[in-house]
Amino acid sequence: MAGGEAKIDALGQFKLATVLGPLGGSVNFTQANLFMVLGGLLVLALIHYGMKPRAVVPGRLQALAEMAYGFIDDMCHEQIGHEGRRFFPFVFTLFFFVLMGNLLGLLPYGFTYTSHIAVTFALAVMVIVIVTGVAIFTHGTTFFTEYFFPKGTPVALAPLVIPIEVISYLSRPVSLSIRLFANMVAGHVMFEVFATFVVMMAGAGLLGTIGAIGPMALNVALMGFELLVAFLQAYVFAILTCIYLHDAVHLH
Amino acid sequence: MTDQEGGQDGTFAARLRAARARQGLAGPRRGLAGPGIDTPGGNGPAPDAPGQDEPGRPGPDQTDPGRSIPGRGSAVEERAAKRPASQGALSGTPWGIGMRVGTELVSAMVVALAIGWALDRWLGTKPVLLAVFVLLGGLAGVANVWRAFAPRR
Amino acid sequence: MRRFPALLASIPVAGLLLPSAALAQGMPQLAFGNPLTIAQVVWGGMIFLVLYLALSRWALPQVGAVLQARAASIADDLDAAHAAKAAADAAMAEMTEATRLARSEAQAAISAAVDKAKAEAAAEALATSRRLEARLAEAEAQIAQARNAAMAALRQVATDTTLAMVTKLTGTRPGKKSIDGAVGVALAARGQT
Repeated sequence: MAGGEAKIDALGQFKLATVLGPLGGSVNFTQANLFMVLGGLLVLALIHYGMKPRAVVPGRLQALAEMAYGFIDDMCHEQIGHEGRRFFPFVFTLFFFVLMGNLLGLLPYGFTYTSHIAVTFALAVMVIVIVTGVAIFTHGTTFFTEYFFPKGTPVALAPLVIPIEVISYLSRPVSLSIRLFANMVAGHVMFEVFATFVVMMAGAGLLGTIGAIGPMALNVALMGFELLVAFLQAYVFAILTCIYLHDAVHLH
Repeated sequence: MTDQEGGQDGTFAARLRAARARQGLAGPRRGLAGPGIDTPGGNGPAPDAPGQDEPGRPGPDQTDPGRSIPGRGSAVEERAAKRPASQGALSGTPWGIGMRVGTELVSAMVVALAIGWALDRWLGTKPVLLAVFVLLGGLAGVANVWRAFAPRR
Repeated sequence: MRRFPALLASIPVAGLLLPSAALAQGMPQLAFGNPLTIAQVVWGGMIFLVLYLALSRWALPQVGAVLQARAASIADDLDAAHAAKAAADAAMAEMTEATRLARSEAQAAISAAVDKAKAEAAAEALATSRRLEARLAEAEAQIAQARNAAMAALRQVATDTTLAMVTKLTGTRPGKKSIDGAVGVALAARGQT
């Protein structure tokens, strides 16, 4: 963002562009994908280098890797139950994919791929497709009757209950993706806006420079808040996936 | 819990005391016990949001299965038993709750609008089904919210 | 909202207002006409798949193996501790048993010695009393003998005395036979033979 004729362009940061020169351009490889690869490599590197000592008493990095493992493992176990083991790698991948997107976006020159509704919606749809697949695989077609028309419901209410349940079910990926998307976009838009304020005010002489401390401090505080949100949204995404998986395995 | 040796409260220190009392060994406590070491290790609660305290997390006095000598075989069951069924999928700060409720309502409405609009287009009943599905979407949103905050069985 | 610090409260407000204002400018996220928007999802799917495979096949099992090894070693240590405790308990019990045994043995020895001493003392007492009894009987026999002798002499003395007295009184000498009979009657009357 150029300092001189600063105007609020809060959305430019979300613009996609191909990276890696003509090679990336020819296959439409965007910076979002670059950061996905980066995030994935970071997670793999953490585990690989963390677990290299294979120590019984873990060092710092190994403790971090083990904490990540234990955190998701516990989440699966708590939310899904014994069957949670099977879904553990999936939930782990999902959590860290989202977390890395959220966190890398907070770095300078970072790109938040989780701020793209297309990405979050694709993730959410994937989750719902997998959840539905698990439900059908586990319970067969009884899943549909069980889920969309629960036992004990008066038959007369069927025309009301079934559409509501279907809408409710289909709204899962929407709410899942909108929540993550909205949180990420809001945070980054505010960063950009406050940062632009800083630049604009600093360009307006001494008084403005002093006044620029305000939005600057706000941005620092916001950074802390956004770190929290980054983690929390990844957590929410993962735990809701676990809850949906629980419902799929146990039918409510 | 099949722990026949431990005291009523499961802390290691308490167990140690109980065991000592039973054995008549009233010696000084060794450096083993004490709340200072009981940091959540690999399985502790990870940094949630402050105020987003989840019900059902075992408190700091949880017995680390590795540290209780008596009843070692029951360590796993202990751990499982100490975990009450988590209730109310996500509770949290008022802001978090508001955000969640809003998202649930909006997303249900979005889906309902999409379905209504598509059905209208397909069946040629231009505004009727859209209106019906707006109502259904509202209801589904409420159902979503209820489901999100109702205690899980 | 009331309970929120001003900063936190301002964030949602700004967060709600700004995107709607920004929407007018056109969000790049909603530019579905842009081929890159879809391309990133396709690439993202592939990256996710690769990441999933790498994690589930390669990375996570490593962590799991280490955690399992740790759990196993902890279990082993606990087992060892249990074994040591059991051994100590067994040794303790053994010692208690040995003490008990020794005590009872000593008790038995003591009581046996006491019994033996008692029996010896009783035997000695018996022997002594026998001996005393024998001497007593002997003495009694001697006494009886002496008395009998004395008694026999008494009859002679009585007969002689009676003879002398009767002779002196009557002047006639009675037959020895009648005096002897009278003395015998008198002695019999007194219970003496």
